[in-house]
Amino acid sequence: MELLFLAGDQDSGADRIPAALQGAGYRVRRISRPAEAEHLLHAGADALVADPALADADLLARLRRDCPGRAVIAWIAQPATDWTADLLEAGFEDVLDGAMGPRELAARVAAVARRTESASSTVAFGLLDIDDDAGEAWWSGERIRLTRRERQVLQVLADSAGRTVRRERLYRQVWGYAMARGDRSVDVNVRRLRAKLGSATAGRLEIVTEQGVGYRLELVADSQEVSEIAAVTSL
Amino acid sequence: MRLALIPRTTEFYELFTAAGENALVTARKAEERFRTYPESTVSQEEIKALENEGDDLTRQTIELLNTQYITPFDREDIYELAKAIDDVVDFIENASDLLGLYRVEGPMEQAHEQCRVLVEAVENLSGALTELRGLRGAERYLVEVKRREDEGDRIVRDAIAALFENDGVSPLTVIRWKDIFEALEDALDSCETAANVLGNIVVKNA
Repeated sequence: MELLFLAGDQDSGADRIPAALQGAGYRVRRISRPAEAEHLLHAGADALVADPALADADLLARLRRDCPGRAVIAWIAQPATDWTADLLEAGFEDVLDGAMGPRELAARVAAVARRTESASSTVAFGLLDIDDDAGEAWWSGERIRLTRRERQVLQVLADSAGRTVRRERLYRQVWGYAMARGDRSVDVNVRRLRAKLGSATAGRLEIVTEQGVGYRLELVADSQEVSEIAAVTSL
Repeated sequence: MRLALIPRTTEFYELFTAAGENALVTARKAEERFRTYPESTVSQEEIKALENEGDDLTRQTIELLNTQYITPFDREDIYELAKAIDDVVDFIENASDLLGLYRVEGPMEQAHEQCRVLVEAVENLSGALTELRGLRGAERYLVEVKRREDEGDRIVRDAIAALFENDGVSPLTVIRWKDIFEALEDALDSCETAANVLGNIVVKNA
């Protein structure tokens, strides 16, 4: 999932939020002009995290009209209850602030993405995009060749945004029936997915087993991003 | 058909030993196929070839039976034993074939258990068949075959129960796996049938 981060050149604290989102596996592109945001959202970027001083009501209205399914999230340096309420009423999908930890930032973006994409057939998780209608999955823009079942299993895991999905629930959502005791169909597809994701994502996307329960999809930050976050958060 | 006066009894023992070994290879290959399915390292063609080999050994045994005046034990027992061993291989091939025919997507643990027990039963049956000439060492193998058949009964009962525990299980899943479980159980039952015939031979010739 590609996020646009709209911030002025002089904005203080504007590095922390994009660094935290990158660490969670999102591809973040920093921009400084609203027109650039419009152009890139038209071109395929998934969401905009914008300084509300730069994303006014007119821009929000145009984006809602011309880029349906693209979330627009506000970011503010410090939490402010009344301001947050105003921004939500103005049409922003959510408000991120500088006091939120990396996990909350990533979870809020994922939640917005889920709400926004429920009107469309796409699911995003980090750099993973799955288009159910087209029956395709991509990692960082590169197509991953999956069977229909593999893609469906991956979609359920991605939809759960890092939470463990019980094997029985995975089966029910993919196959449409209850899982008979002893059926290993889920495990077969997870095994195949692990092999394909391992090579397609260079290990950045993993399916983790929770013994006796089920599976969850996890983004693995690379060492450079971890260092960058540490450098920014220590300032 | 002319009956030969010069007995070729040795050939019966050789054929039964070969049939037992063929049944064991078939059971092991099927176990591997079920265990690694769907990325199976064993093809259905391999299993079918073993089944054809088993048919050929059965045919040779029946032909020999029909041309021999003197047989090492009762004709009926020879026929029943050859048929039972043939049935073991046939039922294994049938179960294996159903994996592809029914487009099974993923295995079921219970079938893995059935295959394990089936291999152990056929190992003992094959062992008993190698003792056919002397008959002395056969009995311990036959006890083990019976024990595995009992274990198989418990496994298949539980396997079928699992298909009906939840009304929401796909009817196609129930159809597929009930047939596969029952085919594997038939193979195990045929091992017991062969063991019973062997047991009768031991008693009659003691």
